[in-house]
Amino acid sequence: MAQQIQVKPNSSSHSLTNLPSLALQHIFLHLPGESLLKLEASCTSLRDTIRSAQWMKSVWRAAIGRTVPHSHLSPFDFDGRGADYGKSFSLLVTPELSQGGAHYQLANSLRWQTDTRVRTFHVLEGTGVRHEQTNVGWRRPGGNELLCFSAPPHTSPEASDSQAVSERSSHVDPDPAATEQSPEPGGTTSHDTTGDLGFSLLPSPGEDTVVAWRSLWSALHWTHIVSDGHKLALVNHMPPTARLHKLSDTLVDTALALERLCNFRGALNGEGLMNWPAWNSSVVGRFAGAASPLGMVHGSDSEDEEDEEDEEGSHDTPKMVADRSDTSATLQYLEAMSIYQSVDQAVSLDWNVENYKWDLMYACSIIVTILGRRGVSARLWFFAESTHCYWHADDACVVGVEVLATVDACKSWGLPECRHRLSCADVMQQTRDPRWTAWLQLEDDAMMRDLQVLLLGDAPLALVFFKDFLKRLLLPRGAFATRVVPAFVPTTRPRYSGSQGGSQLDTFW
Amino acid sequence: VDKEVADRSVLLKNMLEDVGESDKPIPLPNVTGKVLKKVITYCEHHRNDPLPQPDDDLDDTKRRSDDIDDWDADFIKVDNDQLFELILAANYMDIKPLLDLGCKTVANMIKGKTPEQIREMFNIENDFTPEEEEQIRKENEYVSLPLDDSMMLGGIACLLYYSLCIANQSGCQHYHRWASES
Repeated sequence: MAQQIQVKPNSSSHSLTNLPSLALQHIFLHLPGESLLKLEASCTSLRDTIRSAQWMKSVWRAAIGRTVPHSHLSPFDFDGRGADYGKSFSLLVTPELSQGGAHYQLANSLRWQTDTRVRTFHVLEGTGVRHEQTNVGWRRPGGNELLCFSAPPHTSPEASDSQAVSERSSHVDPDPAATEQSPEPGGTTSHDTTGDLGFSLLPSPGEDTVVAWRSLWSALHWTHIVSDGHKLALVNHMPPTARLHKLSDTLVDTALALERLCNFRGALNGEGLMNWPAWNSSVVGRFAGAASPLGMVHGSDSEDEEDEEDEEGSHDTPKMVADRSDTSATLQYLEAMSIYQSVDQAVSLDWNVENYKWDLMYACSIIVTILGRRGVSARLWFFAESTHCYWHADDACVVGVEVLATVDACKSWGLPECRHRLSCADVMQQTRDPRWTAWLQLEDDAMMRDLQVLLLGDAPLALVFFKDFLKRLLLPRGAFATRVVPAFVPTTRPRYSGSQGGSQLDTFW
Repeated sequence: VDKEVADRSVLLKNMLEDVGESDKPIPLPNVTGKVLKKVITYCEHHRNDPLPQPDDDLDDTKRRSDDIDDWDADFIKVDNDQLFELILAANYMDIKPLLDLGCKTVANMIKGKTPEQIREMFNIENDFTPEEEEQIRKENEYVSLPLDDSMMLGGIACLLYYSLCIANQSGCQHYHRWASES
């Protein structure tokens, strides 16, 4: 082989800035976010290159591919215009990118370029460490984050029905622009700027908080079911504009439980595991003298389904659960517990909403950690109005836990339409409210499938939904009669009276 | 060069397929002899490696930069100029594994460096205006501010606020309540 030799007068002229775009792209893909920031701060050329949409697209795509084997987070659009108005997209940011905040940098860049609104989910995988709370939120080095980009809401998306949801891309599409979808799970509320989601929950902020805590408590129970090798997605949600003036005794117990749950702060940082049995006996058992079903979870792996028993009349007393396979009894227990947590027992505590918010996140991180310890893939996510101000008291704030499961597991759970995704309509039918924003997604085009449940709304409805969902999962034959706990019945009261919280969520979703 | 070695380069592979078997030399105007020799060394060593697939870009393992094997690590121990030339050659000749190796190496060099160190290492001129530098600082401060710093700033803010309170006696009560809550 022959070659023409090019004489280079001064080899030192080579610089990073002279590399071709493909090479630069490769370099960027190997860089953690912090280094991207530093590189961006080195000169205008690299800054512009890194901030350019194409680079971001590549970087983000790599981030998605790196983090989620079969991402359920696409579609996204990073062509020069960003998302069209009325469209949104989400991206999961890997630890490499999130460290140092390069994702914020990229998000800001995108915002400048496209007038795209950027909202941030903070996603923590595995353990969360509270002391990592900084002025950018609660972020664990190594944790993932989910950025959600949303265009201004005044143009309603066309593809905002359940079909659009069901057509969410299940993989990282090579042409993001071609797969851009409406992000709104239900679609019907996403751009409703009236500030009223149409259903309301509780008349006072204090009770709002109680409900949120209650849902958290229930979620902890349900977590147990999940970690039991069974199947359940769970969510917790803090209503926007919740203000913490009153907490029930139950909530105090819950807070104490959470504190005790791990000596959690230390356990997270070290090799310590949470002491579930101790927690069961000391905390759960305090609930109205009830025995917890949780204590049985460490028993055998039997998953025998038991026939349904008559559940009526038992909801006023938590029921002893003899075996973890007794899922109906567990459900019953949960319902009974819900009733027991009466808001009449509210007491005044000198907590502010800020502390509450972090504690809720903290609690959810406990759930995630528990799941992780038990081999269940889960993520904590945190939604806030903006990258800057979600730690302010009046911010909209949603905290949730997302559980991932294999499609085979889903099939074994008796989920319908397992070959494809459950449509949002299916979900909404469960909640009986078309304005519910929720979606399920099942994917079957790869070995590992994700089941994702994302719910936004008020916690009680989330519980209603998940309760139904749980029934469907655990009792596919429909033997378990639907019985909605009164406290969970959605009302028609205005939800966010005199607050911007509702509209915040509306404009986003 | 053996054909299977040349086939490591997509550029050469395509050219050979287009022109067929021939003794005519293939011009590579963008690659110096010294660099080409390095490239050939690399291709000969990796002649039996599986060819990269298009989907490899999304392969998680391909995103790592700490998985360079010993031979490659030794191979890529060159000065910056040669490193960039290798990257350029790999890009031109479309040799993905070599391009990846070079880029990983550069990425590893960048990691942990400050902007100033990066400039120095790669002959980058700082062409930011003071205003732009200030802008960058502002953009990054809230994500790069260590917790200790933020706490220190909080303390400073407390002192400032307290000073204001002293100046304005009516505010002291507010301060004390605030401080106790903190």
